[in-house]
Amino acid sequence: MVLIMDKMIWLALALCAAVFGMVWLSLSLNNHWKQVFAGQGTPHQRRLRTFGWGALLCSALFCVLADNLSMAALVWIMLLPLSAVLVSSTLTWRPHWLKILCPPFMHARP
Amino acid sequence: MLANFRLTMTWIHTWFGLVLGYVLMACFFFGSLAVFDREIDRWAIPDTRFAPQPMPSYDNMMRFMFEDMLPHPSDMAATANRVKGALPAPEAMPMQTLYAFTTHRDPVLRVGAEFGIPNEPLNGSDEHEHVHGWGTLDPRSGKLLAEGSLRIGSEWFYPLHYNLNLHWGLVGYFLVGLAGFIMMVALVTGVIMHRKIFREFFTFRPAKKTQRSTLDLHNMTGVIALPFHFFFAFTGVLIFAASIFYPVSGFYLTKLHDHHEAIESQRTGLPLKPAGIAAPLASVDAMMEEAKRIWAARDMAGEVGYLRVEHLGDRNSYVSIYRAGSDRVIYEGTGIHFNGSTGAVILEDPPASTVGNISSYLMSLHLQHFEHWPLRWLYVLGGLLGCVCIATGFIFFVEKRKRRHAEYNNYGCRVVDALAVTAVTGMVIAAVAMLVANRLLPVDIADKGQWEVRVFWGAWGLALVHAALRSGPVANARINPAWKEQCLVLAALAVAAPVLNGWTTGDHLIQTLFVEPFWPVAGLDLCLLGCAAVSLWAARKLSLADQSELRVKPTLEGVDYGRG
Repeated sequence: MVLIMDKMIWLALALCAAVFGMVWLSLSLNNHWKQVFAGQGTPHQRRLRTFGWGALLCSALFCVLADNLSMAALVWIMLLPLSAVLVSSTLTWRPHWLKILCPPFMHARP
Repeated sequence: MLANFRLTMTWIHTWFGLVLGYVLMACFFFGSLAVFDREIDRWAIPDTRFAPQPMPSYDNMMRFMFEDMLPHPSDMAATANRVKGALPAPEAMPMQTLYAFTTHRDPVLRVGAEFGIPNEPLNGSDEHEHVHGWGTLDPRSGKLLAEGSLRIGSEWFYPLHYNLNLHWGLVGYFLVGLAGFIMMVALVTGVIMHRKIFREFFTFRPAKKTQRSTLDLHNMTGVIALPFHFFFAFTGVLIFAASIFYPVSGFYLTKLHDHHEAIESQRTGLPLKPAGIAAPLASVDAMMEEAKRIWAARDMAGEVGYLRVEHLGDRNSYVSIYRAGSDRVIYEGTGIHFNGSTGAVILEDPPASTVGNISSYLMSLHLQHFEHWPLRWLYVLGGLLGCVCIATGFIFFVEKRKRRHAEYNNYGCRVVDALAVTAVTGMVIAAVAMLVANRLLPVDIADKGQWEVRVFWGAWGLALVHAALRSGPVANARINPAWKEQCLVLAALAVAAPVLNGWTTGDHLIQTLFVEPFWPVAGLDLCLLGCAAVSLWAARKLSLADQSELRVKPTLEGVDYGRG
């Protein structure tokens, strides 16, 4: 299965994981949380950060599945700015879009 | 020293960044273009718009081309000035060395040769006197391409990013090397100055005052791509140090260098000098096959990228065959060297040491011989983020000071702003104007490439003059109208280039995207159209900003000097 799957699919997954990671990390910051959900600040900062970093690690893993290690390191390091720019622009112009990418257990009030 | 550490860092960041930022802007922008230099070459030389080819047969094709190759007239003239007596006729010079080079992105090969001459050099320290011949081989026909055209990507944009095409000693290289070092300094000082590196990691607030939103963008593009910026500045400086700064032994310590060369030759068994006994060359195709077999056996199967024959026609001749970059970051040539007359393997390059691997990983990640299209695009993104970071740095410098300077009749801002216009929009105009000239100049004009170069510098020079002449409003703390005007000129040029390309070559976007997909040309056309769209959008934003500045008359009290 791993061998059949095309390298491009793994790279696309790596990008998606990196975007999710950046979304959750950005929502763990109060100023961006307010942009997306209004209210005081993020109720689940810990959870958002754990999931955010977890998603970035998944992204690294997908990169390793797509290429050999030396190449994957470069691809992953370069996917981070791409995903951060995407998230940052969304926060600037369409912050409410990020609601969709944040599952309820991360933003429901405790 | 200034009052505290942070202020000192701010001073360094501001002033060194300002002075060398102009050079860095060129490095980042043309470096980004250099990622796709071969594709830009295809756009600029329509005769070469076909798929990349592997190294062609030597025995059946390249041999005949090399038999016809003569010393290049320009190198004949240059060499004639350096030797005693008249040079022999070009046809009478024996070819002693030849090479052919290609990559996985090249449809045409670079080929060249060295021809021996009997003349003594005028300067005794001149060694290895040769006259060179070179050309570009079309592997479909086995013929050399006509001369005079410039490979705009790999011969103009690419060298521009490491030596500014400034051929006055090594000044260009040293300026860029210094700028790369300053880039690292600016990154470190920038991180120290930045107070909210994590809290504002994603923050860009275009609705705030220009000064604040510019700083947001400067910080964001700098921090988000920090690893890219640092590694490219660092590996760039490393390449500069390794290729320009340190190899002094070849120039100044020639005796040591010669001695080393002799010992190296004894160790490797590759003859340093010809034997003086004529011997024919065995089948080079068989050697290329053998090299590929050896690479495959060493679990690094690949194509031939570089072929070199030394002491051609002599019993001591040897053939070195190097692997093309493809599946790995490190550009491992792993040369296999053959005895030219017997075809037997003399030497296989051993695997590199750990230190060698680290150093070639660092350099190769910058030089990108590998085959990985998504990563190339990510590099372009990193480079453009660097450009945005530097450009917003200039704008922030001006925004922060322009009201104070207007108050005290200080011209500093006006100058910095005019140079910033030249370094940002002016530079892109120069590059696109060159592409437009490439499509407008007649194909058969002698020195077409030279004319393209003149258009490039001419357009850039005009952009500078225009920006300076229009800089008056900056002295009144307003926006230089040159920003908007140059954005409009750029948009017009960036639409003209793909249109002219379609008109003169028939390779319009419908053709290159759907009828007969050819990404090198389609990609550049699409990027140019994207560039036009961004410039139009920027021009519109600029006129809106100028109108709102006119409505709200600025006062000194209202200015937030921000956190520099």
